[in-house]
Amino acid sequence: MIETIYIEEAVRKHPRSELVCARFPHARLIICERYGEVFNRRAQSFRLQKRCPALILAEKRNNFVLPAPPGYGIGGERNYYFSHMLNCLYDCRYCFLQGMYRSAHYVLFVNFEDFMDAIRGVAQAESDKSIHFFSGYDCDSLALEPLTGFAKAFLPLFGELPNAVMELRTKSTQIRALMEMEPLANCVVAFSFTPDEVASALEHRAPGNRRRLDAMVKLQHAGWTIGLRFDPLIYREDYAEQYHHLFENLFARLDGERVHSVSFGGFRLPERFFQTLCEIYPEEKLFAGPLHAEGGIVSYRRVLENELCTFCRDELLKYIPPAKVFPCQT
Amino acid sequence: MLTHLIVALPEEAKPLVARFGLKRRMQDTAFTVYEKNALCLTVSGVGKTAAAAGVAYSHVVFGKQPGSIWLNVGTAGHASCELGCALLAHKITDADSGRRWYPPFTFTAPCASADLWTVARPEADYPNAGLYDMEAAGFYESATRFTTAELVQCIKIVSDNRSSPVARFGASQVYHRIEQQLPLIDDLIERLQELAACVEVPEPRLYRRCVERWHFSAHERIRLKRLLQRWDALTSGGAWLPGETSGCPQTGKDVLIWLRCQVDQLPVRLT
Repeated sequence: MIETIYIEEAVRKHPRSELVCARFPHARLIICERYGEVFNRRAQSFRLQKRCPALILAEKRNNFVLPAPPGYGIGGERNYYFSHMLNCLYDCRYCFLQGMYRSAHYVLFVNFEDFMDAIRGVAQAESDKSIHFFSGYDCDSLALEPLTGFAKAFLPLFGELPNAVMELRTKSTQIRALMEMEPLANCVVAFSFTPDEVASALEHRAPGNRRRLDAMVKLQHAGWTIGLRFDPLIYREDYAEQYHHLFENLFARLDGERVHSVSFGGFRLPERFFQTLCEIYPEEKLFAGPLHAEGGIVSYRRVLENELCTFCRDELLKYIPPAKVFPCQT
Repeated sequence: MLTHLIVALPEEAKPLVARFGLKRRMQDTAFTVYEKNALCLTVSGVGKTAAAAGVAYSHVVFGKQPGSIWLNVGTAGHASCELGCALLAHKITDADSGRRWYPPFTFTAPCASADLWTVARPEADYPNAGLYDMEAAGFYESATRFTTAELVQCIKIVSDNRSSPVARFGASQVYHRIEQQLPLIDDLIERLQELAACVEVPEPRLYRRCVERWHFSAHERIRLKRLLQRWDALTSGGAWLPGETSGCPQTGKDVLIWLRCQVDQLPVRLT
């Protein structure tokens, strides 16, 4: 439930702002000049704000589409990401957003059309190349779909761009908008998973694995292209048994031949973000584990990471051909 | 954790002092300061500079405690709001400089909220729809240097409006207005204390014993604290001290090396 909405003066009368505000008639509305006055200021606590995040309605003015980090891809020749929203409804303890921002408020950029123009421009500039656009980098792509109408607004654009692929990355079960549309061949609806016990310990407020899988199965039956994301892989003593069961359960219900891609990568964070997370959650077992810093990145020690990734890759290859399996590296 | 109340006037302080049974600290002469247990109150005087100075004084006098709560309680004008109405400030504008702050509400507020303009002189025309005071901007800017913004709030009781202008109210009315809203102020303090408890980081259980037994440099103490936090997280606070289970390390450096080895070998169970 949103109790406070901050609105940039410039988008106060934007139709999307008015729609969003109408959904929260009792929220306090506060006008600001720029979202940066409220979001990510010094002396803010991500942990406290996460208890009751506000919604900030803002206008994105530049950098609509950015190159994806190296090692982030599912087979495209060019990889880009865009963020119509900052921050996430869920509270996954391994998420880099907690380390990147001091605010847990949700920022929604309401000028979707400017993002779409930028995407169109990038796709058309290299129309001979396969270009992938990732939408779930700074937020969950679908978790707030009933509020934002993001997928409903953006997917028709990709119908016009045959060389482009859009990935919606989610842990959400908010698939109604997709189920009401004709499936789009160049949209990958990718769901993230960790083993059940890891999910219940670390993925606070996110739907459980079973509900995510139910949503995936529905989408696959309806003709949508789906993907699986195991990033981050989380180490624990019995990881082999845990991941074995997870993959077995998923592929028992999904048609593996029609899965677009599977990606995985060990838990890793920029060192600066990791230090922030340890300060925010000093009691968190995940951050107390066998991690080390190298080259500005905190991750499992190399031997452990290789063991974990190799095991998971080998397990996945029992269900999926190698061409569809993508390790994430940073 | 400590709760600092900052008020501008003695009349604003009196009902709070009575309510919380605060005692005056006679050793403080720069400001009038009261305290009892984990609650303190400083009478800053009128104006944003005085408020900022009052905050800084209280911070230092009470031991520069991080993670404290800061609450500015006072009276304010409002064009149309009923006299005696209590409002939290959700946006504070320094009318002189144009600078703005947005106190984050991460709790369910016990009353409505409003924009607040901090002005240098009493405002009789109320040109904007919101509160007018003379301290909040100085208070807020200063207090957010010492704690996280979620724990810094301003609550204002409407003392004057267009029908009952600022020139007409006196000291007894100030006392009365604040007194009427004491239950709400009490409630607000409780909510802020609940919040503060969420971000209070307890010292690792064995930290004090370690620093009393071995010498650690300032940098080593930081490393020790983090290693002991990891130890507490992975053992759910299992009791241990080097020398109690094996050969006794001689120096703080030895303890850190030993401890690091032990913690790295602990199994990770997330649940």
